[in-house]
Amino acid sequence: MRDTASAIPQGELGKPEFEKQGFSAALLHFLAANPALIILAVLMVAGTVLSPVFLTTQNLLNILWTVSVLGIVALGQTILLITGNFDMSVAYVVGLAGITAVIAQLWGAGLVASILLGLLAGALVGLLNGVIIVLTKANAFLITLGTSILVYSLNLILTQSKTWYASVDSFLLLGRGKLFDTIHYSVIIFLVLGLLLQFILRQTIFGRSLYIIGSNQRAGELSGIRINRIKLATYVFCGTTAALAGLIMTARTGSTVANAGVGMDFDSLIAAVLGGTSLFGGRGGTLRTIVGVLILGVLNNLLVLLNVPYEAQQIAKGLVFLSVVWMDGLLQKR
Amino acid sequence: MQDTPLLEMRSVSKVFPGVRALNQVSIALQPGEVRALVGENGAGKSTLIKILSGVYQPSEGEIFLDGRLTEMRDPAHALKLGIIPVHQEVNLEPYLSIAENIYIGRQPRNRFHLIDYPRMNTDAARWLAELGVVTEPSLPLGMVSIAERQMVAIARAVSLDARVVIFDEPTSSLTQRETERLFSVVRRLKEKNIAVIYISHRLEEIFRICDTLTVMRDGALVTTKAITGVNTDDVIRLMIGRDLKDLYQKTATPIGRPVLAVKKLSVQGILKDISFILHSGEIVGISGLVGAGRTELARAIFGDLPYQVGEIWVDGKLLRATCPDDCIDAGIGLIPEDRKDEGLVLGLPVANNISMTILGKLTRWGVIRGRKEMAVAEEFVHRLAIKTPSVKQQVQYLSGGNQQRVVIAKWLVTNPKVLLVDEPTRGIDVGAKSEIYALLNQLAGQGVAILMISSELPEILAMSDRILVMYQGRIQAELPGKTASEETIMRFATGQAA
Amino acid sequence: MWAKTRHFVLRQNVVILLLLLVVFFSLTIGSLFLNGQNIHNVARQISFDIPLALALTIVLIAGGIDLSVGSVLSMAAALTMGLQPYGSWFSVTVALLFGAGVGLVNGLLVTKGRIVPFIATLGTMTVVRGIMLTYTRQQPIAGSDAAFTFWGAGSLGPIPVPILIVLALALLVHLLLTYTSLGRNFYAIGGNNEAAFLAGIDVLRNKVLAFVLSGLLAAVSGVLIASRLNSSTVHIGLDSGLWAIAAAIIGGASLTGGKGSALGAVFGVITLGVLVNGMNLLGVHTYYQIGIRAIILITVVAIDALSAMNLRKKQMMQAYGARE
Repeated sequence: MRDTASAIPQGELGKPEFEKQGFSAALLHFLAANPALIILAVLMVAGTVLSPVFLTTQNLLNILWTVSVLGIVALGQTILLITGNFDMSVAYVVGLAGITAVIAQLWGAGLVASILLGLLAGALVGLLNGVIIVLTKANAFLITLGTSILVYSLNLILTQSKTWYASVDSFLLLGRGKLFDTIHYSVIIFLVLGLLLQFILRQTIFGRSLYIIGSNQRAGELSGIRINRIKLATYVFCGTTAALAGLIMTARTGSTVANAGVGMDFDSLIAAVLGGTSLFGGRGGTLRTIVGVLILGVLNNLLVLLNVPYEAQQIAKGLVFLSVVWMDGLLQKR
Repeated sequence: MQDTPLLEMRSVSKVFPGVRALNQVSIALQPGEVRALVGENGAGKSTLIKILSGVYQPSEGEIFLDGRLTEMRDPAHALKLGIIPVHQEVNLEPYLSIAENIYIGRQPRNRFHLIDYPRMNTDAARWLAELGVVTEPSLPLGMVSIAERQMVAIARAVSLDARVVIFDEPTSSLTQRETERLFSVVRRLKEKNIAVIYISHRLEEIFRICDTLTVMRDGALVTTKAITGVNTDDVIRLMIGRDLKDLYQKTATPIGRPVLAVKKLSVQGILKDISFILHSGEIVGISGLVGAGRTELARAIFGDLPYQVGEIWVDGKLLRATCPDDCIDAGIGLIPEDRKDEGLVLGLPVANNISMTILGKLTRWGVIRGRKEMAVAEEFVHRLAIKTPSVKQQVQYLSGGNQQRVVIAKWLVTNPKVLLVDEPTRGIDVGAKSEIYALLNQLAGQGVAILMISSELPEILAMSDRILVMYQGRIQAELPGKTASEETIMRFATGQAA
Repeated sequence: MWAKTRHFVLRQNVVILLLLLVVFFSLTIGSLFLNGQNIHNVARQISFDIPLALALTIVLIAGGIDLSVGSVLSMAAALTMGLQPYGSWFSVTVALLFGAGVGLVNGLLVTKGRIVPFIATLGTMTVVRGIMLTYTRQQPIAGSDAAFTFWGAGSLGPIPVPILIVLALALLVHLLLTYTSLGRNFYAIGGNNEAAFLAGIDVLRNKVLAFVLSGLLAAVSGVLIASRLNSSTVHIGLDSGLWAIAAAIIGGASLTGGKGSALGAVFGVITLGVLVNGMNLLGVHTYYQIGIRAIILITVVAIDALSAMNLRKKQMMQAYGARE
């Protein structure tokens, strides 16, 4: 019962309960705060034991490269999750951005113009999501599922279900280029963006507002935070990061199709939640999401190395999602 | 009186993490007894009621029904045992019909074992008629007034097979006539040898219908007495543990220039033609029944409830606000009624809660200057004597009184000209209350204009320079704080006088 | 009864919407739209959507949501076909039990696990889909009992058998929702959870039952589709869940809970069915149809939120004695 929970009086000044309860509780607290790191460590050990090629620089760099696209999507999703909102349209926005850029190139747009147009497409979808949700206060989950399908139909109309190829060669560097011939640019973009966002979240007025909205929107509103503006901004931002991910993905293969990025809606949620960002808003961060994305990447890598069939991976993903959400709920109630 | 009590609680305690909400409370009720239960907000009355009605389980102690040890496992079980709480009108079903609200969970069936709506409606109409309510029982509950909803809750309780009926502030939204109907219901329950627990803030009601009185304070039982042996002053002294004069000390402050002027403010269906002026250094109390529009008035002034007609002037400037942010810039602050839902972000540290209202001033290029934020927070924690191990402590671990001080601090940092205060002492223990009053007084002394909404009449009477009494969205009367009495306020608040 | 029907017609915009659609398509398409064969087709088509809309209506009334119905539908279809060699009745029973079982899991996740319904059912949606893909190895399964196709593909005179089945089902759900305390408890829980609890209703048990009914009805839909196609493929049920949510809301249910009716759900499905049929007859390209469906879903959810906001305002004004 909600009422029962809110009726629980808070302790007289003093410390949170767990700090009074000794070692096992303190350990629980530490695990509760950083379970993702432990999961990652366990998976790394498991990988090393199970496969001789797992712990090679090549394989690790490869994992990073594989996850960076999903990672960038998950970073944007994290920003939204902190405010207690969702964006399920990111998957097809990933496709839309690539399609927009590739088609723009066919029409003669240069490198920069095509990238900007791709990002703009994502920003516009984010704007559409934000406007509808701010104006109607409707369920963000269902609205963005709706726009997701809308974007998919747009992708189908634009591509006519055919594969389209990028015609500007320098564009491919975005996906295939490496710094010092070792680390892919996309990996660097992912990691730098994650760090930058963490700074914004923790140190700026914008970031602070996100946590306040996610924890108690009403209190924030009554303290002078312009909720609607910030919500709009986060949706536009999330759309734009999804578009950036889409551009990188397209640049990797040099081509794109209508359903490029399918599944990234759910996967980005899983990554963020695995990292320790709450689905209920108010808790989390992009550094955590980086860890969450790495967990997914290592897990996928292991499953492939172990020849686990795709169908079983689906089941595993769902079960992992449910158990993480369940634990998140337990922490929330503690 | 008989030997075996109908209902008895023996040394019942309820402990929540960090707090003892109920401490060793023992109460015995005889059949046909009408027992008043009084105490300030946060005295433990609602915890006691929740234990009796099966919502909470006691941490210690035992409950006996007819002398037999009994456990109320959940609300369903308590109802089956005949312990019937009359909940506030918010605990009803807005979409279901009035009749269904009365018969929720026990609808009459026809011979096919399906719900018999015609019979349910006729029966419901009969119960309502006994309470003097004439409403079509098939109407959705959400379509009738708060007072009528409260009567529906009462009708439901009366229609159940009761042994003990618990009324929790039943008259807070009722007019005089409806209150009289309620009293005759209580008398009839008494005749049927049903025990009644009656909780009310209005002491004169208690003296009219109750036989015995139990006073609670800070989670513990203070005393139980026959009603005939006590008077109002005794009861108040028992409730707050000292003389009223010690608790409320209004220091006279010079009243300055007009700061807030509200002119002909109307919100369709909620507020009607509200005009008043608030001066610097002045505390104006707003009184009225639940649903009279008190909180909504504060929300309208604070840019949180759009109004169609009227003007609000702050310090000689017309306020054109579309959201609270604009009002904060104009120098208005709002201490909301619900501290936890509207005032604080419980999971954030004290410092972040205090700085919420002035983040714009603490940043350079959008980056929060952490040290300055801490310094401001430290200063106000010190000034308001907020008891917390550090400004980095999460607010949820502070006591109610200290949490309320954090809310006040977060508005003091904005250096407001006008402070709207909605139920400032709700859920705060007695000791902390007087400190909140002192703080409000001190602010008025510094020239802040304060509009104080409160349901507690002694609080309104003791603190206000002037009192505005609201009734059905209007200001029914303006009374001078010195000469007003509880009785005159209630006459205006229930619409008997205009 | 007539007074009630009239009340329903006047109160539910869905009927007006449906009439407008019928008039519009009659004028633009003409006899191709309004002829016996086409009506027969529409009736058959919508009969597979009605159980899903009923499922969502029940869960929405009880204040939840169920995103897993599409996955349950496809797995139920796969089980119906895959286990047919052991006997059709056996396979149908297993399929229905599977649906009820997933509903039970959903209910327990929501009540015992305290996971919000759309997150919990999003999880089970993924898991069940994974189970289906594993079970079928992503291959279609063909039926082996020709007589079984009667339930989905057969006709009694001009009337398709499945529409008779689902209309009977709708009647049962109507009786359940309106004339049993279980149904009224659903409304009470969705309308005000706390009030229902304080009134002595076993909130957790009733919520679980709502999800079980939802899973069961989704499985019915899967069985009927399998019977109709005499096979199952991995593609069925992909977006059925969202479509059913839209139908339920068009029929008067709300994401805020406590509202909706079986009759409304049926009308919601008919309305959307007529729309799709009309678009097909008009030759609207599939890509655009997908977009139009998306816009409908968004509009429906947005309008639901706006009307909930309006209702709150209206109720507040009522509470304050409707002062002018």
